[in-house]
This record gives sequence, C-alpha cells and structure tokens, in this order.
Amino acid sequence: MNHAGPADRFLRGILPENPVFRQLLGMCPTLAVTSTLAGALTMGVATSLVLAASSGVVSLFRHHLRPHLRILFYTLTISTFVTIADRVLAAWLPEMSQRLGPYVPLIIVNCILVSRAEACASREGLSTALADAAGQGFGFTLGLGALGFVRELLGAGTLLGHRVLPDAWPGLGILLVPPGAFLTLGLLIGLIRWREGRE
Amino acid sequence: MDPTATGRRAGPVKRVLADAGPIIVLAALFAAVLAAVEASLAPRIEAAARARFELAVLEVVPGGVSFEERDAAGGPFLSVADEGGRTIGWAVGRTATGFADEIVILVGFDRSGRTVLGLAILASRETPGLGSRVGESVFEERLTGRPAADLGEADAITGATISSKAVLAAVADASRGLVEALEARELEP
Repeated sequence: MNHAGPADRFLRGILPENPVFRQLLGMCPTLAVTSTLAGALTMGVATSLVLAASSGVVSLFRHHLRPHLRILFYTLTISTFVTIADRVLAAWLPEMSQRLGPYVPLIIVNCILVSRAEACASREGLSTALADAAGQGFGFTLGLGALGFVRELLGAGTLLGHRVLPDAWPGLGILLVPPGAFLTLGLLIGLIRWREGRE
Repeated sequence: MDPTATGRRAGPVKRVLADAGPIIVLAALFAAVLAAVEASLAPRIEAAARARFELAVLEVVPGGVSFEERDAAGGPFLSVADEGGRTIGWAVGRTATGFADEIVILVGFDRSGRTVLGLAILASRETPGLGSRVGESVFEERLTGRPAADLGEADAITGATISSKAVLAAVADASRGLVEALEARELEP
C-alpha cells in the first residue's frame, strides 16, 4: 500500500481516499469556510499549495530526521509555509484574506498536512510525495468546492457572488450557518456512498 | 555513519545537538525566508488596508472625492469634500461590540452631523448568514437619509439583532460626538 507509484498516489486522493469525504480530515475548514464557493476554493488552493511545499521539504529531508523529532519537524515546516500563504493572501487578495480571517493560519493544525507528511512524504521520494500532495490537495479542494457550491447555490441563490437562481428563490438560510455545513457534508457523504452501493 | 552511535559515546549536550542539529538549521533557514517574505509583502499589505479604508470613506459620503483628518474631542473626524473642495459631509469611525467580536464601522454624515449618508463595515467576524448581514446593502439603505438620533431597535435586521443594535448604537454615538464637536466649534465644515 505504501509502494504505490506517483500516478496512483495522485488518483487515490481524488476519490478513493478523498480527505473530506473518505478520511473526514480537515473538518474545521470544511465546515467553517464553505458558506461561499469562492471562500471554499481559496481555502482549498491555499491548503493544497502548503501541502505540496511541506510534503516536498519533508521528503527531501527524510533521511536527516530523528524519529522522535519528526512531528516537530513537520509542524515547523508546515507553519512556515502557512505563514507565507497567509501573508501572500493578505497582500494580493486582501478582501478574501479578511473574509477567511483566522482560518488561514489555522491550516497549521489541519491534520491532512501532518497525516500526509507522516504517511507518505517522510517515507517516499520527491516525485511520489509531490504526486500524493497534489492528489490529496486536489481532492480536498474538490470536497470544499462541492460543499461551497451546494451551500452558496441553495443558501443564497448565488455562485461566486453572481445571482444564479431567480430572485423568487427563498434562499435556504440554514445552509449558510454552521448547522448547514454539517447537513450538507452528511448528505454529500451519503450520496457518494449510496452511488457506490448501487454500482 | 549512524549518528546515534557517535551520540551515545558523546555527552548529553552533544547528543541533543546531534539530534536537533538539522532542525535548528532548518528553523533558522525558515526564519530567514519568513523575514524576507514579510519584508517584501508588508508595504503591499499596508497599502491594501489603506486603499480599503480610503475607498470606504468616499463611499459613505456619496459625491466625496477627497478627505482630510480633523482632530477633536470624540474624534478623529474625517471631513469629506466634493470636487470643488467644499465640505459635503463627515466620515466617523467607531468600534462596536458585536456578537462574536468587535465590529469596526465607518459612518458617513451630512454637514450637520445628524443625518446618516452611508455605512461601511471595515472589520467584522459576525456569524455568516446572521450577524454578518449588517454588512449588506439593505441595512445601509435602511439607515441612509435618516437622522441618527431617530434610529432604534425597529431598524435592526431580523436574525442579526445583536449585531445590528451594536452598529446602530455606534452610529448614534458617532453622530452625537460629531454634533457636539461641531456645536462646540472644535470642528468647522
């Protein structure tokens, strides 16, 4: 299972081991920033870039790691890249940065990052580690995007801020508040499992 | 060479250094990278915050093209001028205590300081879909053109009662401060 090649690693993260729908990791951003599609996608891309960078560094340094210091090494690496992502967002997308607020710095404690470092990057070569990070990051972005899509469309009747549904659409306000995140996540996971059961 | 082998023979200090060496080097490297990132992005981040603020000042006093900060008790107040350089209104910043955290607002008033011309939420962490609605245009439209002294609970948004009341109180407070400063002739339009 640990000897999968880069291509296989990439594909696994998208659905069979999707971080959101399968591993149920990274639930904090999944529930907190998916009330709009734009917020969800920004968080997904930021997390993916941090994941790719930290997986790369962890993989490159894997032979210099003392086993009992490895978690320290992971968090040090991850927090560095998260800080860079946070500053870059504040500089180039100030409005989005304001909207995401504390959830960007909180990528540091997103368990997808530590779990990928531990399960893959610290054991595999650079190309496998990067493919794994790309697959997991893409799968995470896809998961957040799906939640953001459903919640913004049905909750506010808009997508990326543009009105999509007719003005007569009442807007299911509950989808925009935290309980709506749980409901949407549960229904999406149920839908995926149900489809698989039928195949 | 196995670093543990040398570590066992060496003293405890050397052993710890041998273990932690790569991490210490990496931490120093990361610190340098972060310092470089911060140094290169800080001006842009500050400029973005400044631009957001300037835009908000001219938005809350429609027709304004420039503004100037004036100091007075209860201030600072920003006098907003039109193209001819004539003061057409005032912008006042206030911080209200909302439901989740502080709400930083900027309110526009006419020359007398009594009538609300516009409202901008500069910073807010209110509940999305509920308290966050004080940032929507419906709320601003509800206040626009009204005397700040007349605003009351009836103007609060349903579902955002706490946040709206906090903002309304801050708007009324800003107006009082501005009117007092104008009446005391600490400010001249």
